[in-house]
Amino acid sequence: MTDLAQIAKIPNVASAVLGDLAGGFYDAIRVADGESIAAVTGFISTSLVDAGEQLGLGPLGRVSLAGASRACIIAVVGGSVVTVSVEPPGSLPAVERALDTSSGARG
Amino acid sequence: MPASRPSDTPDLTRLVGLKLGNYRLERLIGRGRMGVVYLANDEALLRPTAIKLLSWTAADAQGQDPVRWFLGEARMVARINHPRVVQIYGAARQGDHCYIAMEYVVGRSAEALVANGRLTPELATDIFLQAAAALHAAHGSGIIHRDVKPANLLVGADGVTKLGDFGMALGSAELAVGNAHLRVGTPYYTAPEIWAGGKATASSDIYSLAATYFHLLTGRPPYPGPSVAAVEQEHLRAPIPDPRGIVPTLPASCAALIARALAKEPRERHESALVLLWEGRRVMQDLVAATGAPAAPAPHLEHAFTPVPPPEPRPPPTPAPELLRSALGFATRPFVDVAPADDALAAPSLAATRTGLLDLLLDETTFAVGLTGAPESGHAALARRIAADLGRERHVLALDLSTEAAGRTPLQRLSRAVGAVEESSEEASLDAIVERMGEERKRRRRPPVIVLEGIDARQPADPGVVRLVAAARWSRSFNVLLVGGPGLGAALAQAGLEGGPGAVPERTVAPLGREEIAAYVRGWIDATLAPRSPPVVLSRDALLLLALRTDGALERINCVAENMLVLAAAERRRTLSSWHAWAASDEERWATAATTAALPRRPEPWPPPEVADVIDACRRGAGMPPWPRIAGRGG
Repeated sequence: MTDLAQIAKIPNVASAVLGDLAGGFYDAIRVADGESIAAVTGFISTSLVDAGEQLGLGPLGRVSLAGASRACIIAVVGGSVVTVSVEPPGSLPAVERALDTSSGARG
Repeated sequence: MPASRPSDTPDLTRLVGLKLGNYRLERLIGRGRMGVVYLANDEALLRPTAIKLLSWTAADAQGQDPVRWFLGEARMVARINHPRVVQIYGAARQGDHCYIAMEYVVGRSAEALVANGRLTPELATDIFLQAAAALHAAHGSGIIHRDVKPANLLVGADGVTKLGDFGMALGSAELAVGNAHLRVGTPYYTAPEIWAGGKATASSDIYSLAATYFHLLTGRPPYPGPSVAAVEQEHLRAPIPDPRGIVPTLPASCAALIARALAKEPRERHESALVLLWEGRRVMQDLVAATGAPAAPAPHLEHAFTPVPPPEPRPPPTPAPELLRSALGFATRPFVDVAPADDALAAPSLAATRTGLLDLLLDETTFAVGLTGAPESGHAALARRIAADLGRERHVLALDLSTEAAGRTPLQRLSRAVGAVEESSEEASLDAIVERMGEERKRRRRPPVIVLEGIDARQPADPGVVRLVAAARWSRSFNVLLVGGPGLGAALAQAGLEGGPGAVPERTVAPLGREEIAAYVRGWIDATLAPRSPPVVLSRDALLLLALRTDGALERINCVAENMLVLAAAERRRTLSSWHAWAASDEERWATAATTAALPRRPEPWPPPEVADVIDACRRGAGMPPWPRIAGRGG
């Protein structure tokens, strides 16, 4: 799930960034400013981890966001945060399934 | 032999009706070693006047010209010019009579008062305070009284006490030629060093005044031996008596004052009558606090005070600069102080320093504290914050010593700041400050705080600052918060502060750690963004570079962090990244610049290799892997 090279091979994945919950930036594929993306999604993930606990969701696994031009999947794996940009946004469910399959296959 | 020796000594007690100059003698009111004193009427100015007439013998004169000696007294007292010293109107010789015309005090001597039994502690202390003020003025004029005793303290009907009879006094000229060792004075009040044949000094006057105070408090002198020889031995060797043995209700501060002022060794006594006066004021405060009664009138020193305005509340937040408001949604300007909110400091170490300092200031045993820090550490801003906090309950007076003063000393500037008429001398300025602070303490029932900023700890402190700290120690009327660079205590000690470098406890503003910087920056941003504005996010690498560039110095953090926001706002971005932290100036504030045209532009790709190396070094320090090199991966 944190192997950006594998993730980048999924159809309709425009870019991917690996960071952590503190906003640290570790890796990026096909994106110029991975640092800012890691900072934002680290901030969002931290906030949502707290919200998820309040809602009784258990450990936060994934958040999907969709806009008019692009969608985004933020997956929290342990302390890591993977941010996957999806284009077009309509392909978001397919990418989510591919990510699930990918992580399930690695088991 | 005297040049002007009268042939016969007339009976000076039978001169009622005699006119000397403008003065008609009306009634004999006293006799002394040097002559007699009449109440006279000044027929020109129509006011009662005391006329002291000289009578002398060769023995009295002790080999000196008695007329010169007599007139010398008048000249000496005339130059003191203090409201608690009996005023001299003139001195003249008419025929065989040499006389001094002086202020007539309607009232009684302290000796007459105490003859009916000990005085109330408040009254005794009030008399003592006024006498100490007079003695300080005399010493300031270079005059040693040498005969301070209850009989020479004249207590007016209006409660004003005046120090009189300088007949035994010596001025600086006489002290220099060696007359100071002659033993004069009254045995009950004479200092041990005088008994031992030593010289009269300001310290021996302090001893005499303390012995007088003891007498007024307890109804008996400290060493009431049956003979002069016994009294002498007691002054020289007996343990210093505790007045609480006779009056148990006296406060400990009163006993401490007596013990110090009656020390056998002059160097162990109060260093000046002014310090004695300050400590006496503290005793008075304790007496008033114990009884809940209003204080006896303080020894007014005729300073013309103007009311001190109440402390200024914290200024309202500064509106956000236009760029930060329009691009990022800031309501007020961030990074302009040490904390965004009234009640909390975002950085825990700052909060701990503030709390520690306030605890020290609230501790009654602490008279002065230091707040130190490296340049740009924010210690001065923190001091202002603490002063503002204290100002809610106490009177706070702040002075920045690093600013221009037009040739005025720190004490003169403070004296002006408290509303006193500008004093020419350091001591007079200091006394005005102490008196004003004492009034504030009484008014608010809490000691006021004087904040002195900008003390240069690289050199010995200004002597006036040291005196102010000593005054705080002895008067207990106020606290001093000293703000300067590291080594403040040593600078004070070098300038002569008693107690060495540790005499003034210090708290130091340490550089902020990385996580503290993060909390501090986020605290400011959250507090100054308008409600419902989207967040502004700080990247991890931006934080690392910010810590590197500022060394945790708060003022530099403020400058760099605000400039990071300006850069981000100009790019319409809400994430502060390593680029912003790298490019933001640490010298000038960009937020108020007229244009953003001159702001640096982000190079592409970011970061260039030389910056990536710096970021890698920071990351290593934070336990993070190096910056990802993504050029070959389509980034």
